[in-house]
Amino acid sequence: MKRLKRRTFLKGLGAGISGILASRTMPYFFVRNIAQAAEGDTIKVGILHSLSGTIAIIETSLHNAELLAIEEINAKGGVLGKKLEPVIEDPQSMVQVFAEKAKKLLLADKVVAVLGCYTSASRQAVLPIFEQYNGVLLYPTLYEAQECSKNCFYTGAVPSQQLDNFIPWIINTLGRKKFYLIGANYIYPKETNREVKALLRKHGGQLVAEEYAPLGATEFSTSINKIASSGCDVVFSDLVGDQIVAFYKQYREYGITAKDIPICSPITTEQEIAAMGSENAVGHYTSFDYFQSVDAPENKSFVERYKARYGRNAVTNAVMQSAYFATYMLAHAIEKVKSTDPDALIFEGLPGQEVQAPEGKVKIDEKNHHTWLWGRIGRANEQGQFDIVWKSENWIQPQPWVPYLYPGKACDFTDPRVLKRLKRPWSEEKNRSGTINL
Amino acid sequence: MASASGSVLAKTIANRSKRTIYRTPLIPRPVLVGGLFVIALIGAYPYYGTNAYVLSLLGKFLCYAIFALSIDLIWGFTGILSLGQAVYFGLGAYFIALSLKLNYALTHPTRYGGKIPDFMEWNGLTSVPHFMQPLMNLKTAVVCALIVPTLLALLFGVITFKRHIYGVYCAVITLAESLILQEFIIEYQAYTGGFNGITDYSNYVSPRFLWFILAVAIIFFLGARLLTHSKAGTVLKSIRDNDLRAEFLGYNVANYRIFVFCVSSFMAAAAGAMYAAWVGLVSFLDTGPVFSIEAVIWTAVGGRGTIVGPFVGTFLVKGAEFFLSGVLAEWWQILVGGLFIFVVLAMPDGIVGAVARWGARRRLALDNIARKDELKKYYFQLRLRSERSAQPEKEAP
Repeated sequence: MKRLKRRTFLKGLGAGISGILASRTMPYFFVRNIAQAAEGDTIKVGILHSLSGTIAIIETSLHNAELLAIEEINAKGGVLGKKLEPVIEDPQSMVQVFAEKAKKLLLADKVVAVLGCYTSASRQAVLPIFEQYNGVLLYPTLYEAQECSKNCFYTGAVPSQQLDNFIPWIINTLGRKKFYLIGANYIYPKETNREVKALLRKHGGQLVAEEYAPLGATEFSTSINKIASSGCDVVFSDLVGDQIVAFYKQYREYGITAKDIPICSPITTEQEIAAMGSENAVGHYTSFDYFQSVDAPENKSFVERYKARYGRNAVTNAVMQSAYFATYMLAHAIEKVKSTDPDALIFEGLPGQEVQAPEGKVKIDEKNHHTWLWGRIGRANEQGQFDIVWKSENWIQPQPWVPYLYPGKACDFTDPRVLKRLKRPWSEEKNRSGTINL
Repeated sequence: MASASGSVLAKTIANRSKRTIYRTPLIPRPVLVGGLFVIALIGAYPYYGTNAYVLSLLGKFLCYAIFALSIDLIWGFTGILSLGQAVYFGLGAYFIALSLKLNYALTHPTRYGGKIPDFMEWNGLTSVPHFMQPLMNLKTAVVCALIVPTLLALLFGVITFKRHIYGVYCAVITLAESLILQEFIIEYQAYTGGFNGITDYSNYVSPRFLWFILAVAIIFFLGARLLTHSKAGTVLKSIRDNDLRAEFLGYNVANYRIFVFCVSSFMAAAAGAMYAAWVGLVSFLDTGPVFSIEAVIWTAVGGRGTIVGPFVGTFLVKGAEFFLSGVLAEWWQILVGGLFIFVVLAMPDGIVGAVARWGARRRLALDNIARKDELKKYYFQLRLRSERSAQPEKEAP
């Protein structure tokens, strides 16, 4: 009998494994391609959130919320009698990969729209692609505003929706006037703080100092030293990601409590508090359109469904809620125009779309593609949730350009002149970068 | 008589040595045939392909492959492991991207209405700084994109290789170089776009530019082959295998290292420049160590120390990424990692190395058969001769 040699065995094993992999992945891929070419019985929706890399924690929650919404829509019978089919891509927290995958979703998978992106960097990386190939992007994150794109619908808050009431509230209700601004060194904190400073001038606040930490830096002892000796009575933080966790922890370890100098932030969510431990955040304030503790039947059932799907310990947050209702808005828009044509969605389907979201009724603005949202201020409690201490009486209009900083600037996609320019085939806007022409 | 049999032996030995010292042709036939096929396949894609996404991937993969080739030149052939090769790629890319962005901003007012790139505007600049004015001209930018990284490589090479810094220390220094550049880009965001990178400018996604990239790739491929196939290439390989011995033989190891490092950086810069023009997006990640290490992996999978290897490795790994990341979103990274480990364990010389070794073994086996025939012939002749010489001596008058 022939002896099985180690090398022969290894070779066979390797060949076997690669064979299995090839047989598992290849036919699936081809089947998928054939299915989309034949315009099957599903409507493809791209989902573009990092499942690996530095921002995976928060982006995975958006990804989950969108999948939950799609499952719910499908359970109710889908859209136009077809099921929504999520096409999932992992951009690995890298802007290059975001751009590449966005291209793939639009050109290879031919999705009707993409729900995706979290950081401003990733949005800026994919926007030219959506404009070039006329795709639809639903962007769920709060961001620095001063942008509007025909192809993008922003369901997150703009700074004015979070700050216009927050800063006066800090000054008048909390009675704190001396602000110390700390943020990460990139576009979102810089633009947000520009607005904070304008609001401080308007409402009689005082700027003590302004500091930008390098992105990704998690050592804040010198900054906290400066805060303690600066004589400020409130810290306004737009640090992001892991920095939030590090900053709040070190702040408490240093011995400053929320009674001495509270931290106010437009970006710290339940997600970061869960990561840092609720004792580090107790008493600090956040301004958002949504908190998990919002007392509304829609929200209770949303939180319940989310926990049933992703585990008892899962928490919901504002950005994820935006991603969730954005998915519904997309489904309703497709129902409304009875088509998956991007131009129909961009000009008729999505603008003015209203939906009863967990935070309340929300609407996409017809003029600037941003969303009417509610204003809320929360104080973090021991359970890692927010006690809502203030709520706006009505929904707040989105203003990508706030009048007190940029008077006379706005964008209006209902203006006939703008429409005429945008709808022209192969117009400059559609064809901004080089396209394939043989 | 003795001399006669001796001359046969000498002839046989000469024949043998002719066969055993086998000099590979500049381009072996399988590579030539396969290469022409692949070139035709890529070059003709705009005619038979319909998927614009695949077209965009082809151009990108070619740029990546040139970058991997540049790493192969220094790592696979000379034994310098650089984890900062992306510095040169990134510099080339940034020059072109900046130039295109500056020009784009002239005709497309930013969201603030100005005629300078948006990242300059939100950082408080009101006009393009003077030292960036020359970049408005694309030709100047191309020259800068190719020359500045090469000069930087020269400087780096003189600093390190002349001081006999190599091996692990060199890898660490190149890594540091890469991190410094990244920090610089993020910190000086008014000029570089910082964390967001440079995006939203007119890029060149067209079949003609794909052909241009393809042509450059072919030129670099042939150039690298010529270099490594020459005497200088033999010296480079000897430096890789034993640098002390090469030095004792009288070669100026440092100069050879500097030379190959500059050539490689030039290639990386060219790849980066074309990448920026093709993809339309450059960020600090393109200059980072992770990108360099990725390219090292492509080279290792394809086959270090071979010219075809980087191309095969890049297309295979990036292609696998393209197939797997959509189908198996959560698993593809593990699969690509598994592929890498499998290749390194089962084929230490990479895929091309393994194939080449198989070819060489086959050739050797054939050679052995030929050699045996040769010896048989020799012994037969010897016997014939001895038999012949045994008989006439008696018959001689």
